[in-house]
Amino acid sequence: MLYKITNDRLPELFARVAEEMPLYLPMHGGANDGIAKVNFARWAGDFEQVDLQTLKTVLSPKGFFFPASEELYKAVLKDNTYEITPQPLNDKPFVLFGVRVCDAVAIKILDGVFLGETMDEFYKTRRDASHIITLACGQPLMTCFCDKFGISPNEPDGDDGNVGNGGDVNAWLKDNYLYWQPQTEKGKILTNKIKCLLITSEEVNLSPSRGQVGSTSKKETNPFAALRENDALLPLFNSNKEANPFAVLRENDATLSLFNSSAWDELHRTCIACGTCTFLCPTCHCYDIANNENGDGNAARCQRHWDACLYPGFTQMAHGNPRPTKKERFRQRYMHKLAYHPQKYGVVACVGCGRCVARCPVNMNILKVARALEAAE
Amino acid sequence: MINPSNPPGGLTHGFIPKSARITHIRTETPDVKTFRVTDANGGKPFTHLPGQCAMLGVPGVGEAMFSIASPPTDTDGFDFSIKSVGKLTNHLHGLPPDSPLTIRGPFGKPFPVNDALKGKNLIFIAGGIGIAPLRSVIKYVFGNRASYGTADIIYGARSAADLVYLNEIQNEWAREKNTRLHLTIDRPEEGWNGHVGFVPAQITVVFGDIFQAKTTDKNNFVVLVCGPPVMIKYSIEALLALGFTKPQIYTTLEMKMKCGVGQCGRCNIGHKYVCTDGPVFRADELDELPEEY
Ligand SMILES: Cc1cc2nc3c(=O)[nH]c(=O)nc-3n(C[C@H](O)[C@H](O)[C@H](O)COP(=O)(O)OP(=O)(O)OC[C@H]3O[C@@H](n4cnc5c(N)ncnc54)[C@H](O)[C@@H]3O)c2cc1C
Ligand code: SF4
Ligand code: SF4
Ligand code: FES
Repeated sequence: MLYKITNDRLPELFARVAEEMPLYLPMHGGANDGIAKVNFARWAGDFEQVDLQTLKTVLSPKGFFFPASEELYKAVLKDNTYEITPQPLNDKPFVLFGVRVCDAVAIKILDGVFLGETMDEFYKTRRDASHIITLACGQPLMTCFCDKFGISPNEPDGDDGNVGNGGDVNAWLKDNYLYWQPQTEKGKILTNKIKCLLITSEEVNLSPSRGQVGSTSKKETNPFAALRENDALLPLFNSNKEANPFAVLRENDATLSLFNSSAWDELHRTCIACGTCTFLCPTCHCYDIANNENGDGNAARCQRHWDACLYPGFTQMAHGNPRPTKKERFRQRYMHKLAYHPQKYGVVACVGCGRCVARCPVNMNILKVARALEAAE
Repeated sequence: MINPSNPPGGLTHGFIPKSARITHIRTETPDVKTFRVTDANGGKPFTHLPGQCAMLGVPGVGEAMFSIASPPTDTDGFDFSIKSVGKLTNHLHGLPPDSPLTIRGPFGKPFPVNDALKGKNLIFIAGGIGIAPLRSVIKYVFGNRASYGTADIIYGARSAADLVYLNEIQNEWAREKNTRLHLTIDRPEEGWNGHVGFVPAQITVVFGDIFQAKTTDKNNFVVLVCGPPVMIKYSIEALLALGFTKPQIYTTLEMKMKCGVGQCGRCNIGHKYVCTDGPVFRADELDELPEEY
């Protein structure tokens, strides 16, 4: 079922959703210093702050499921025994509105890690409590390349061979309407609660023309076409517009030759190992477990924090470090995404969101790496 | 799934530990002590198979992975033989018996004691603290003697004082049936009448004659190698030179670990995660991995 609501009633829609459960959506943050800082924040009734145009929030929504820091358990010494109290699971339902398709697919990639072989109940509880509402992008940015992974930013429902995104509701902004299409049981239940605000929209033909900006048919119109015309402006793309640098990387038996590629000798040099790319990346999931004293020595809190494989201490052991220099650590990050993760989980750990392209202080990014590896083949 | 501990609250995630206790401490060498660890009620925290590991923790100090050095047949707890190398291990070395700890596990894949090893002649090759995971197998074999063939144990350390379990080896293991011990130290020492030289060289010394003789059927052997990475590398080379094949050789790898459940991204070698796919690997499996360990 497809529904719609006129754009001028969006504040009403958000207010109604927020009556049901906390609502998070992209909002402008803090002072305007010339850099658009848009991040997911909780709806507090101010529609002016909401930003449904900016495509990339600075931080991906991964933190809603895998927070930058969280407590796992407390250990208190009582009668010479540690009493261990796990952090209570937070199963309060919430809505994430305006998740772009790449970020939604990234959550599915994280699901593979946290809900796979070993179930992470902290993650699972938050995942079960979440209601993800995707928002089609319309015109992608220069830094976007989700298409390289079979993701279509305007067709988020997984038909037509595209990667399904796992959104509970998919939404499109077009002309003067927000279109709203529940996908999952959770999405349908939420929709039922706010139905009074929505009009059913049977007349809209779903297949063509549901992009935000001027597409007429999904078969004919590739939202990336215009972008690729400008490839020359981007140092990352080579002249071959059709080439997908990631294709070669999906071959399992390429792993060892990629690992031994001479390209790494140069690639790592500019990287300053700041870790920005890992923290901003919606699929990066390395973490540290820290065991912190709580003052008096009789109690401690065990916490999990985001960590980065680019940091020297990450794999340091008493007898040495298996990744002793920046070259090995840099190689680990990209080999993990491009070769190891696909080998283990069957999917490249990149969704082409372009955050690393946009934010790396030295202009390194996964596309450059993939191109260089391809060239060195 | 690797059978995570069942922590309080019925949660199944592998990183919530149980409370545990050190009941007994034995000094093995100047920097290795063996700790007997039970759960808070004096029982075994969980069941395991030889080669599997556990995370021991002292809240506020740290947590680290250690091989369970006792066999599954022990009913009153686990042994951990721990070398003092850093923050947590130094702290553990300073603790008296009856000190509280935390424990979670078991982690990792065990040695295939109930399939590939069954009925075979076993060769154990260990260097330094690498004897810890093998002790679990060795004592398991001693406890189920009829299920296995001969046992040859080549074990080396820098000096006689650095041989972990030396007393136990000389007084208990030496009495076991069908078992031959080949102890070696790096340099000659007064009063030492065992082998002298690095472990890989001793493999050739001990087995050279036996396996050159065409009568010995090498297919009946399985070899287990544990120790520092260089020792493992050269031991495997020595074994291959004697005519063993890689699928007959098992080893363990060590990488930094935090989660133990294949998530935190620390312990991977290529697409294999040592905490869940290892630490036990068959030598031919290593060929598929990037050389980064
Ligand atoms: C599967 C497995 C089984 C194991 N079994 C055993 C066993 O049976 N017995 C045993 O003794 N050990 C075993 N280990 C090794 C054991 O886990 C380590 O010795 C232990 O983690 C050390 O912890 P620590 O807190 O004492 O050392 P840490 O304080 O972590 O220090 C270790 C070393 O790393 C260095 N270091 C730490 N952090 C940094 C940093 N940020 N930058 C630079 N250098 C740093 C320190 O200088 C020190 O030399 C095993 C490991 C694995 C993975
Ligand atoms: S690639 Fe760029 S963002 Fe990532 S760690 Fe290196 S310098 Fe930082
Ligand atoms: S590697 Fe870069 S482009 Fe790919 S998902 Fe991560 S941040 Fe986005
Ligand atoms: S210890 Fe975390 S992935 Fe292996």
